[in-house]
Amino acid sequence: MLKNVDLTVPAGQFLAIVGRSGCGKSTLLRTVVGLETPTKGAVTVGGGRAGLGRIMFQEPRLLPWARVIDNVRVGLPSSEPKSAARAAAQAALAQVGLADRGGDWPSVLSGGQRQRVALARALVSRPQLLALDEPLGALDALTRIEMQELIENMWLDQGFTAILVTHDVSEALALADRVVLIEDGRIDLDLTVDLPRPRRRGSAEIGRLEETILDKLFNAGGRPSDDRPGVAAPDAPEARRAIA
Amino acid sequence: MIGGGIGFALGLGNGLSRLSERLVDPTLQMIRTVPHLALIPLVILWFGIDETAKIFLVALGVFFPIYLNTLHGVRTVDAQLVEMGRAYGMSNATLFTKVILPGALPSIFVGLRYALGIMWLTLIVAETISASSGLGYMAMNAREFMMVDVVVFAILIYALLGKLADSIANARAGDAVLAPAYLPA
Repeated sequence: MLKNVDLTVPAGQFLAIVGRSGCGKSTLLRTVVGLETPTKGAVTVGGGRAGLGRIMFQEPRLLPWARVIDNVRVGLPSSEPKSAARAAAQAALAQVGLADRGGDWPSVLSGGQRQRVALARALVSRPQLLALDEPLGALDALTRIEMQELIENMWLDQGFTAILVTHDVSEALALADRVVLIEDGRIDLDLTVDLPRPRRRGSAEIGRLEETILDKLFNAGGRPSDDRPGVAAPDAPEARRAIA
Repeated sequence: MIGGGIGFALGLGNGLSRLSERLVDPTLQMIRTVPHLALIPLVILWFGIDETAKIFLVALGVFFPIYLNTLHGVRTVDAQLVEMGRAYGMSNATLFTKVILPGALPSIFVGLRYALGIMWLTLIVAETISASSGLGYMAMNAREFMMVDVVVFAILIYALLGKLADSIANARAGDAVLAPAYLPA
C-alpha cells in the first residue's frame, strides 16, 4: 500500500494527510497507532514503539450497551481507580460540551454529539498523539465546522500532536500546521501552512494553498488541469465541492 | 441447565478461538443432525426410565440452540467495536467482558428461547414414552383408558407452561437486560 514513506512529525504539530480514496492515508494513520504492522520499517512515537496514541474513527464506535460516561471511561487505563476515572471522564465530557449527558445511552444522542463523546473518550487519557481518521466525514456541514473548532481548541489547550486524515482539503487547511499529500503510496507534497489562528474560512491565503494542493492532486492523477472543474475525480467528492 | 451451560461454554470457546472451532465444531455439527429423540431407545437401555434419562435427553436437546446462537453471537460482534477496544488498549479479558459478551447477548437470548421450547418438547416426549410419573405419563395412561378430557387437559397444561417459560425468557431478554441500550433513538 505505502512505499518508502519517511515522515517525521514534531511533537505538538497538527499534521493533515490528504489524498484520494485508497491512496493509503488511512493505512498510514492506522500504522502510527499500532492497528496495522508495517511489512518493512518501523514507526516510533515519542521515542517508544507505536501505540501511545489515541485514534478517532470515522464512526463514533461507542459501545451501545454502556452509558455515555462509561464510554468515555473506555479511554482510561483500567488500572485507574473508579472515582478518579469517573471524575476524569466527567471533566472530558464537560470539555466537549456534554457535561449533563453522562447518564444517557449513546442511542439517544445525535451524530455530532456521538462524535463529541468519541473525542472525549480519545482525549480523556491526555494522549501525546491524537490520530483522526476522517472523524468529521459523516457529519453535516454545520456540525462539521463546530467540530473543527472544538478539535482546534482542544489541540491548542492540551498541546498533543495531531494527525488528521481527510479528503477535504479545506478542512485540512483550516486546522493543520502542515499538509502532506499522499499519492500512489508516496508523499507527493509537504506543505507548511503558516497562517495565524483562528483562521478565517475562505481567506485569500487559504484559497491559494487549496489551489496548489488540488492542482498537484489532479495533475498527479494524469488529468489535464484545464478540464479540472468539469470532470472532478468521482472518488473525491470533497475536493470537488471545495473547488465549486 | 447442564446442556445450556456446556453449549454456552463451547459456543464462547469456539467463537473466540479458530483452533477450538476447527477441532470441535465438525463433530458437534454431526451430532446435531441426529434427531435427539431418536436416541430414546438407546437412552432407556443406558439409563432406564428415571430422571437421568430425561436429564440426558433434555441436556442434549438444549445444547445445540444455545451453542449455535452463542457462536453466532460472538462471531457477529461489531468488528469495528472490537478494533476500537484494541486501539484503546483493552486487555483480552476486558475486551471480552466489555465488548464481546454484551455484543453477543441478544443472540444468546434467542438461543435461550429456542432452548426452552426444545426443553419442553423433549421432556414431554421422554415422559410420554418412558416414565413412571409426570404429565406425559398421565396423558398416556388416559389414552389407554380413553379419557379424552384428561388428554386435552394435559395438552392445555403444556401450552400454558410453555407460554409461561417463553414469557419469562422474553421478558428477561427484552426488558430487563438489553432494552435500555437498544432503544431506538
